[in-house]
Amino acid sequence: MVEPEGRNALRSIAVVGNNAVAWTSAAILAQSLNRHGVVVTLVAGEQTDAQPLVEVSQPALPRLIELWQLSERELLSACSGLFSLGIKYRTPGQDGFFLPFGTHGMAPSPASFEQTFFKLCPKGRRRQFNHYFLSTQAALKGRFEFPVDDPRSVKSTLRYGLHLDLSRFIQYLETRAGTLGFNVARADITAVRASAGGDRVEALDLSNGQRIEADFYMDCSGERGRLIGEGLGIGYQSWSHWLPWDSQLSCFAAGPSDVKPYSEVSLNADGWEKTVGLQNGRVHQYFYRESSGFDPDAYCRKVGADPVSTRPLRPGRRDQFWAGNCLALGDAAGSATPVVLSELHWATKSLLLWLELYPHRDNQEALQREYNRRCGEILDGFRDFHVAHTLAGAGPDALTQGPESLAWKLSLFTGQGRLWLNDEEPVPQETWVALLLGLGIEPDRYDVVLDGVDEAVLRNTHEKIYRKLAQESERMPSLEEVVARYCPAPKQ
Amino acid sequence: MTTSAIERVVIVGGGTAGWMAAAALSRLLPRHCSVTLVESEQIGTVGVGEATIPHIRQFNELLGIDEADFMEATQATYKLAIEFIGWGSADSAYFHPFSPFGADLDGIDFHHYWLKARPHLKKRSLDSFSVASHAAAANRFAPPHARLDIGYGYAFHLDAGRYARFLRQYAEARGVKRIEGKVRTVHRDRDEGAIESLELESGQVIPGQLFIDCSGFRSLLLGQTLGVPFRNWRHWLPCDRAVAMASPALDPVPSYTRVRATATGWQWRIPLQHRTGNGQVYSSDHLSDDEACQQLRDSIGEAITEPNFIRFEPGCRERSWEKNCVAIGLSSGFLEPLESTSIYLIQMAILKLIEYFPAADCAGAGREAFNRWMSMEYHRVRDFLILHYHLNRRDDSSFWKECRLMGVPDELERKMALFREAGAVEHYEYGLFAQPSWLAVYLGQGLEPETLDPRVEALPGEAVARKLNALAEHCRQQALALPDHGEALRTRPWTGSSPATLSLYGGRYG
Repeated sequence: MVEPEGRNALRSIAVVGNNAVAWTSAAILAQSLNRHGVVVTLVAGEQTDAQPLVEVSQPALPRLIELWQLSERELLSACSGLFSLGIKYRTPGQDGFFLPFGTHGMAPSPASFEQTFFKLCPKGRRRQFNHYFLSTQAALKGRFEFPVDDPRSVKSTLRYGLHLDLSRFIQYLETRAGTLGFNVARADITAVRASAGGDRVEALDLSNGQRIEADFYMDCSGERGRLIGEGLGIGYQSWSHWLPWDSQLSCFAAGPSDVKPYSEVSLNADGWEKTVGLQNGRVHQYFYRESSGFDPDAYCRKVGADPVSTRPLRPGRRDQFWAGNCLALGDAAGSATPVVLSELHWATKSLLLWLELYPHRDNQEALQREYNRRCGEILDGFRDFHVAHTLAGAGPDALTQGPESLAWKLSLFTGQGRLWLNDEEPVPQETWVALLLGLGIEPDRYDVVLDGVDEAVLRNTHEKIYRKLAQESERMPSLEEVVARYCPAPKQ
Repeated sequence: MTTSAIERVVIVGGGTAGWMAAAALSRLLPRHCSVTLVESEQIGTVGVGEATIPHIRQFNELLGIDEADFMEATQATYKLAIEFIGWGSADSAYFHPFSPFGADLDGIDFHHYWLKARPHLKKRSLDSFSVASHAAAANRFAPPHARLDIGYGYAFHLDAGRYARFLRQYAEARGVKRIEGKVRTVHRDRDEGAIESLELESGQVIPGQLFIDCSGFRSLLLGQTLGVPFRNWRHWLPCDRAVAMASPALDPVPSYTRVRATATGWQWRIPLQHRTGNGQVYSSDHLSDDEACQQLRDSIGEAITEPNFIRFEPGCRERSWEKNCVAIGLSSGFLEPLESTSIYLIQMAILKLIEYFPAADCAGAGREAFNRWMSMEYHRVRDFLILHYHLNRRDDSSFWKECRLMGVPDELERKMALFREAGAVEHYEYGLFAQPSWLAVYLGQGLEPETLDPRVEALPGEAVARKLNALAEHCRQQALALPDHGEALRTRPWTGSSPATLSLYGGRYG
């Protein structure tokens, strides 16, 4: 299979960690690289950190599962999973809003739909923007349907994410490790052996006496960075001045779930609360500052959940995400406080970039530099997206010392009604618009092209669109029906 | 609008930029906003940009201009590619088509497979995997149909003088007021320094709220009046002169631009319906005007116009928009005619002006956004152009040797290092020239990657070559099924049209 010419190709990759990022990365690597002669081994030690209990995915995860040729039905059934069309927000002192997946799907005529919306809808009421997405209309009625591939159908604008019970997701991948194509070593790492120069990982000593030697290492060990930080000494820059929450509580309340096709996020003074439905109950999460006096046990009692330990959050980024023959993924590489965009989403996005660039065994400095550059842009995008959330109800002026890139985005949006898009954006343009409007950040202007356009005509079009979306969503089945028919979790 | 709206826009200069701006603004601005264009018949226009890139179709669509009318009025021909002859080494030749090369296989860029198979492939250059290149080589043309595996975009060669006149008619029919005259004085606001009005030699005073400087290289408003500094990039782009001359129309008429490197510069050949545009671009340090003119005469044979000499400095203004003045076209910057970017840069400036159209105070983030965007465009085009000069093995002149030895901008150095090391093309989402263009020049001009993607390196070369041979043959057959370009121009033997997008390659890449 591998010719002598390929002698410089990677032949083995070790993935380190025992969490969703590690298991998923091992699966992605095996699925992409087994056919190129690469052996993937997951080194899964004791789970020390508390886990977030649930994965609230972006629409990228279902696509990945399809790519692996895993059965989505089986996966959802095994993980008590639900489909999600977006996120429902509650913000202090205001009505909430919905942040839909998918698009509104309306072509510019003569200016983009958002611009016509700015013209028609007075300031203060623009949270309504999200109602022009079929995802929103359906979600708020508790309904769900799969997207269709035909661009003429309004259902082609739908996208969905997944809610998955994380420990079951890991179990699911574990039982399929053989099919997916990776080995699992159940042991803790006792020592990371670095090269003489200290810039490459040479081997891992394990608690079972085994020694793992691989050509390349994926550090999915969480924020401590067992390989990249402790092993290779790559530093970490803190973003706690922008994202001050240092703890995350996750707890599970069992019982018949109120099945909703969305997760819920509340932006409170003392932190962010997130509620995620599963088929067999609800996960409650709280992102808070330890010094704030927030009482996790009291919170668990309040929501009727089993008490669970909390895990530390360390917003920031690694100085290098890829150093020598080691790639940091997820929290080991950096964290933008995973309130909306999960750690798994960040890890998957960066791993796919690495697979696109894909190195040899030797050091390739330029390739590494390109990866680190682009990955930094990806994480900056995640960071700006979450820092923007801190402005809920406070307005863009509240961003006094935010990242320059976000300050610039906000000033152009409020001043001109335009979104500045960077090379790497975490979400599509329309999602940004829906978020900013939802948070109460509103533009002063709209497209000059619309200045002479008759308002009544535009209004008529908007009303027609709204009615069409409302009708279409009424005809969709409820999420409960879809789940019961398609992927019910086994009764326990 | 919550702030008061602009009601008077004044454009200075009536070349390609001036009339493109006037036409677009007359179409897109609300009726209560007047557009006045001042031009003088005594001031010649440069008439650059006879070759375009596919984005111009989006401009036509925005203005509601029918493609057939446009082609008739401008005596346009179709363009699928640029052929580079003598770039890199004196005997090299390659196409830079408006299309990607091949298609990704197994999630890995196509060119890795081509590099792997190359020792086993006879006469299959990278452009063998582009339908557009095959069609150009065979003087054929039709718009891409939707079912092609490897699609393409297309553009036009046009008569810039006729294009300006065509747009003038369009703009005047939509209410643009044209004033003939030369600007004598530019009056500015005492406190802010913004432009208040233009005084013509006739004594007429033209007041305005927003001024668009399309005055060409003079940069009358932005440069001369507002003093925005010029960034000179001659140390990277060595040519500063051009001489242009027309020759009779070609038969058969090519569906591509040809640019041929000479010992101290390069020559263009742009086929139109009624004539052929030719030019010699050169460095005044290495060639006199007379020598350049003679070189051009020798290569074109029969000339049907007198030589037109053009002097330029490659570079751009530090900001394109200052106070209430927006420079569009040569007044804001000029890089090189090499990749036909002049009209594109005009078009993008117009689109961005509309996107960030100011309120009457001309302040705010929109101006900054416009400047950031245009600066990004200029820098990305600049680096791509420098690459053409820098990447050469020619030893026939000190001109090429100096280009080879010069230091290049850091961003370009980084891009080249990445390709040299791993055959990877640096990614960016916005701005012109994506992966296929960089590949065409890197590989067309001999920048060889030291390693390939290891997943491809491990494959058996001969088997890959068999697969690629079949693909190249498939591309060639698709191209040969297209009508002859001359026939296409006469009868347009197709129905429907392909969507006009802001893409060089028919939609697949930026």
